[in-house]
Amino acid sequence: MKLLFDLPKKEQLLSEKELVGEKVLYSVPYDLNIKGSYVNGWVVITKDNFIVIENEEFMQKVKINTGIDYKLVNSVGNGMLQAEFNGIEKVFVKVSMEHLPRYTFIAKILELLSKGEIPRIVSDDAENKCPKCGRVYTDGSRSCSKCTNKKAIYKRFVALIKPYRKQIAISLSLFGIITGLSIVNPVIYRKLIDGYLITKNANGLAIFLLILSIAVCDITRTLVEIFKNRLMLKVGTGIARNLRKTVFEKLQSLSIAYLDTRQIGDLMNRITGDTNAIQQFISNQISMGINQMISLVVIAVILFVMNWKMALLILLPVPLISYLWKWMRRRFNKMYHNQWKIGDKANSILHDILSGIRVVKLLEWRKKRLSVFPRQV
Amino acid sequence: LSDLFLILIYNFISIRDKENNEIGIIEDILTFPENIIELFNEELNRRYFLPIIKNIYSVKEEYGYSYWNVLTDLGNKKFTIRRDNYSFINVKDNRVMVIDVDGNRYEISDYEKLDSKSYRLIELML
Repeated sequence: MKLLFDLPKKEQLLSEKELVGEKVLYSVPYDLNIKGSYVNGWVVITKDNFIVIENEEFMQKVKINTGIDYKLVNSVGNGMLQAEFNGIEKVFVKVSMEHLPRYTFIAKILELLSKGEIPRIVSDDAENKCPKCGRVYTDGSRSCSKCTNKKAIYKRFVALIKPYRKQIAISLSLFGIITGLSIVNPVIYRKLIDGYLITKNANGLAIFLLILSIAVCDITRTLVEIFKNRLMLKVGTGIARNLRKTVFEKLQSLSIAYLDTRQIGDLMNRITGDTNAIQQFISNQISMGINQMISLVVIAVILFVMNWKMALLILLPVPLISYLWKWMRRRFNKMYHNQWKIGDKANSILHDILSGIRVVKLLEWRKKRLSVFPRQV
Repeated sequence: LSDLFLILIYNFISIRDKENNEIGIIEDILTFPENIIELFNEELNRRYFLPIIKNIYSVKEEYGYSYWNVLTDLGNKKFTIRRDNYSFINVKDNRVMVIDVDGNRYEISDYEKLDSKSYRLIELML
């Protein structure tokens, strides 16, 4: 838990003005005023005094040893830092749940200082938010999904696929062959239609050879695709297996304190569900992505070589489609997430019902459960 | 009253001292004079913190979390919720409870009374 924050500029100036020559031991933010409205507030503590700054304005300076019984009173959804002065209780600041754990320490610190003791509470626990961008860390993680060094992630990914580099290289070559064959086929069609069918040129052998070429192209492409898919599936499965092993080994090395805070289903999802998602990504999405990219570039080049005006006309709606797709993707993402949530809820309910099936049978709750389950999913 | 603990249970208010010993129960605060009711309300509001969301400026979704920027009856607030089944709860009828990652609760009293932009932002979660 961080207890010594860097003060913003104005608060820093106010603090220096009010606490001349005193060393700041702790400075922490608070977010509610006495009436319960949201504010940007700071409490700055030195050995002898503490000051309260609210919305960039100095509020009060308190000599710590004039008060007794400093405490944080927990209420519903908030807490109040208060102390007793000449028999009268006084509330200094209110905090929401965000700062509640922090102010539990602050109350202890003030109580120790009021008794003339030096607090040994240090500010070393990690926060659950990224100090750089303010995003919340994923549960159980101490790295920000946005600010994490992307290079390091790619490095780990490369290390993961390194044992399969030969298969991946072969797959990439096969992608090239598939794309090439997909592009050659329409060219043969054009030759057949423009050269023989439209001009009614009855050269039987040439027509036969062209049709044969089309068939050979299609058959070869299908065979190469089957081989490539098998290869990518093998690579994906292998990587997922290694990943599962790594995650399992990591789980074994984690502390009981950490494992206590995680649900069994959550950990199982990490080992099976997440690695399966990566396997699917490698086997299907990467293949499709590379294929589409190569096709896009090659077809665009051929189009521009054949007729640049037509190529521009064809590519004209691309920005609009990209924008629409981006907009739709956000909505699809929400819909898929809701679908996942409902699935997750159904699983949890099913787990509860099945694990307590004996109780359900014993107490004749069968009808009740039958009516509840479809409604909840 | 400031020295006493107040606990609201349905229609009853249990009044306790600092050591949590019960002094007595008030069955219905409406039987008291207006100035006393005001005191009760003031104290209850001081202890029960539940901001009511009046307007939703934005809901941005990233990496399994929703980042909300809202106007509440207690001022502007930015908070983050997990995208799971326990952070956005339909309580009853059109009432929704939103729970952020720190455990703060926010209430949408009636989502149909929100302006159209705010409603659109949460439509898919309902």
